Amino acid sequence: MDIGTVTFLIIGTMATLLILGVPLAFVSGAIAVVLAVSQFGLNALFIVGSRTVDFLDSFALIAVPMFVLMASIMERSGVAKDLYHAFHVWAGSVRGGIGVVTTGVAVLLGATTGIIGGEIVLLGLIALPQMLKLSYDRKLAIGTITAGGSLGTMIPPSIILIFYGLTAEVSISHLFLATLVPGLMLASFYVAYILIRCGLNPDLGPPLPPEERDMPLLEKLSLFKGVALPMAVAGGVLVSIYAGFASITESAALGAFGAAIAAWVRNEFSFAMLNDVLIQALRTCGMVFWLVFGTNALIGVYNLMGGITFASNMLAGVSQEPAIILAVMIGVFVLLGFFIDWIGILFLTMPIFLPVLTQLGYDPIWFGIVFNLSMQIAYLTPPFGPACFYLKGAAGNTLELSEIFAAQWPFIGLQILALIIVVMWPGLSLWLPQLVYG
Amino acid sequence: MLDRLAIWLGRTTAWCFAAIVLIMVYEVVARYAFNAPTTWAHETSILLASFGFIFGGAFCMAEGTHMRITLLVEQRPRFARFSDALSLIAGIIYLGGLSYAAWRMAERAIWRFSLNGAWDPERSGSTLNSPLPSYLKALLFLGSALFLLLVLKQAAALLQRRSRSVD
Amino acid sequence: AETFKMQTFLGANASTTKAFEGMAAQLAEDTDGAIQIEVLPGRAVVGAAETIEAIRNGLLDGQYTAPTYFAGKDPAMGVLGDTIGAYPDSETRDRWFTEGGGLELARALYDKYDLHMICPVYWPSEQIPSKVEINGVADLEGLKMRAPGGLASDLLSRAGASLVTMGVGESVTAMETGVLDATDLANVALNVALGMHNQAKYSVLARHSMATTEMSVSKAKWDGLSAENQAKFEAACYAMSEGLKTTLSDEDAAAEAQAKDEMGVTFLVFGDDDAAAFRGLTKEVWADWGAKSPDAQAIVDSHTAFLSSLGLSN
Ligand code: NA
Ligand code: NA
Repeated sequence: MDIGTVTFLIIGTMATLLILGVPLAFVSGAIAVVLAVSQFGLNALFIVGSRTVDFLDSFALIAVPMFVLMASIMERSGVAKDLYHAFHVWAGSVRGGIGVVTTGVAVLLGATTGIIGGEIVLLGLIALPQMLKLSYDRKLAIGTITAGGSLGTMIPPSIILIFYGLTAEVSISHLFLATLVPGLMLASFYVAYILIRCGLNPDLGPPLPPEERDMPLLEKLSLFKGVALPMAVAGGVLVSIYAGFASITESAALGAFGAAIAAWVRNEFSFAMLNDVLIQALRTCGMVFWLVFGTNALIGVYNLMGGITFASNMLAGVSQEPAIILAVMIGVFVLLGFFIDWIGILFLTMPIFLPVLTQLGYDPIWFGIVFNLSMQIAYLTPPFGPACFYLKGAAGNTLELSEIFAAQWPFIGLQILALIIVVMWPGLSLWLPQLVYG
Repeated sequence: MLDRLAIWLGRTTAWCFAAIVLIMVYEVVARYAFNAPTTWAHETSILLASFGFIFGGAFCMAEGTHMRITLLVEQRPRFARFSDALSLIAGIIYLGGLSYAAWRMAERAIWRFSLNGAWDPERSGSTLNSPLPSYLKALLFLGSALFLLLVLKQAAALLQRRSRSVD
Repeated sequence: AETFKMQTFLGANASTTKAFEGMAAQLAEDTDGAIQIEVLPGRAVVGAAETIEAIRNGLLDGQYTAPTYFAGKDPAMGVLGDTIGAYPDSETRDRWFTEGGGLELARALYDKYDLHMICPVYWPSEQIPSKVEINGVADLEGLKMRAPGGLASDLLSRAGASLVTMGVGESVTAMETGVLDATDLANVALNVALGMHNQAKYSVLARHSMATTEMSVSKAKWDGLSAENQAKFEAACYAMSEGLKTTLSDEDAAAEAQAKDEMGVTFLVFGDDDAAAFRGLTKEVWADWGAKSPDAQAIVDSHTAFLSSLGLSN
């Protein structure tokens, strides 16, 4: 069987198995095992095991359970409820105000984390129950959290841009600055969308009734009393990262520790609660990391089969026109984004795309932002949508995966709009690094 | 029985995350207050976290929380049993392959001796030079084998139900 | 025709990977297509530390990599992989392979892994991007640095640096935020390309790490080649190494000029006294690592003898 046929077989089988309801943790892994053994024999299973161990041996991954712990503690201890109540009072008569606040929180959190998992779980545990309690539209609330939480890699720091920078050998600091404006632009699209939808139909995001929010300023301020300490903890994480006190993973752990102290001060800390939040962290990691193990294994087997050579020949045959080649590359990002995660896409495509791209004279910094934005889309698109998986991991049985996916389309539309803008106007990404570094 | 074991293991290994929090706090304090970062915090945390990541797979299987796209099965309930069977087959293929690979890797990493007969497992090569790679490989074998056993048990239960319904 | 699937240690855009691809094309032409090398970028099939196992499992046929990745599997690989502060520059160190019996020792070691080492490949001495001025060994005391793998970590901690373990990616953010004062990364060109000098206004040549890189293939595959093709393969490997010496040096020089002019980076080099002090510390590290296995000790002894023949034994 030639590699072209195999490529289409892989994609076809993957889509079929996913739709038939096979657990995502098994789909790509089973394909990897069948391909490895049929093409190279039993010894090739070494790739499946070795890539899994290689993936596990990473300190950055630990940030995920740490952020889950911090979020679960805040949620269980009633801090989240108090916090959202205060926001709601302060948002006054603004329709969709809590949606806007949640997006703002997402951007702030995005400035502390470089990954999406922890942030979505955090928002899913804290903001989602509150938004639903405040009678927000389910789809709007879900989409705000998955799309907003995905901003974690669009606002610096960003693990995607770090990996991209190391692969493309371009400055990671430049990438961080270049992604800032497109990231904030995307966030402002979400805010505008929430305000317009709720403005047109107040049922989607109702403000608090006047009698509940009319109170003297002093009383309004006192709403923040109980949440001051936990908010200081969250702020402390941000400061500890930007002031250079601790690395991202360490800061996340400090945040979890601080949240536990805050809960203890509020008299809400207990052994049972600690046990519960630890299991929540384990469940989220078990669900999500096992998806990546399989995909990661599949990429190794595919590369060994000559996938890289095949894809670069395909790309060379497409066209001589730079704009068309670029469009094909972006199309490949989005298409692969339906089925595999960003690290897989990076490993699969960059060895092929980067040399071609530099030859065509495109700016690799700008291309990094194009890739980053394409991955925002990939996070949300079914059947393999990591942002949706993380939310499902956090929400458990209260949400069906199909409902989460159904809520994504308007947000995917906004992401496509942002992608088009970033592709059409490279200056949007490049002016800030030029301003800072010359 | 097997399910209970997986749940119990998950609940126990979840405490590794609490240990990591304490280790990280200690590390940051040691670095700033005493300008003496540890050599062990990093690799120990990776090992502890891996316990959770790896046994989390079997834990979610026992709990039934692994993600699947249920849209088709919801619309056509007749597909439910077919979908279950297909899932278990895919699980057996993947986890069988992974367990076999992890077993062989672990064996090679751990079953090593120096010339004077001392145990000499594969190490990380860092300052600490801990046997982290050996532990990870052994852990991956245990975690995927337990996961595989759970899938096999569910497959047996499905076959039993099937033969009963044929009767 | 024989096809060699060979994984290299850096990404597709790296100069070393491009040089490898160039070599592959040239070798195919020179052998009328008898030797075809399929170049796989770093981590394409397996992680850097697992390529030897992948070759023994018959999945890959060879590698262009750094032995220091295998320091945890075999201390002799660690010792072979990085000569740290022993030599003034990597060209002098590479003479150990040809004049000091190094190639025979390295080949004997690789033979134990069913590999044939074709040739050592040039790799420049690594440079430390730093936010503070480091003029000598004494300035390393208490400095927060990322710990590299293998022998270099031992050397830096003996020099008094406070080592923080983290990945290459995380070290970039850590430098930016201030968790680190300095980091171990790579050569000047790569440090500049990755933007390390946006924060770090110093670049220090301390000779803390002088990694070896090499090209090797499965013994069985190698033995299957005709003597003529073996000779061509070896010649191509050495030619690539020579070419890289020029390419990497030119890139480093250009990056150094750019860093000085555009970013105001100051380049510092350890003086003779500090180089001697580092060589002394290197001997201590070697004593530790040599004790770990007879193979490691043999490599240490050979280096020590060669150093004294060069008059570099302090
Ligand atoms: Na971020
Ligand atoms: Na997707």
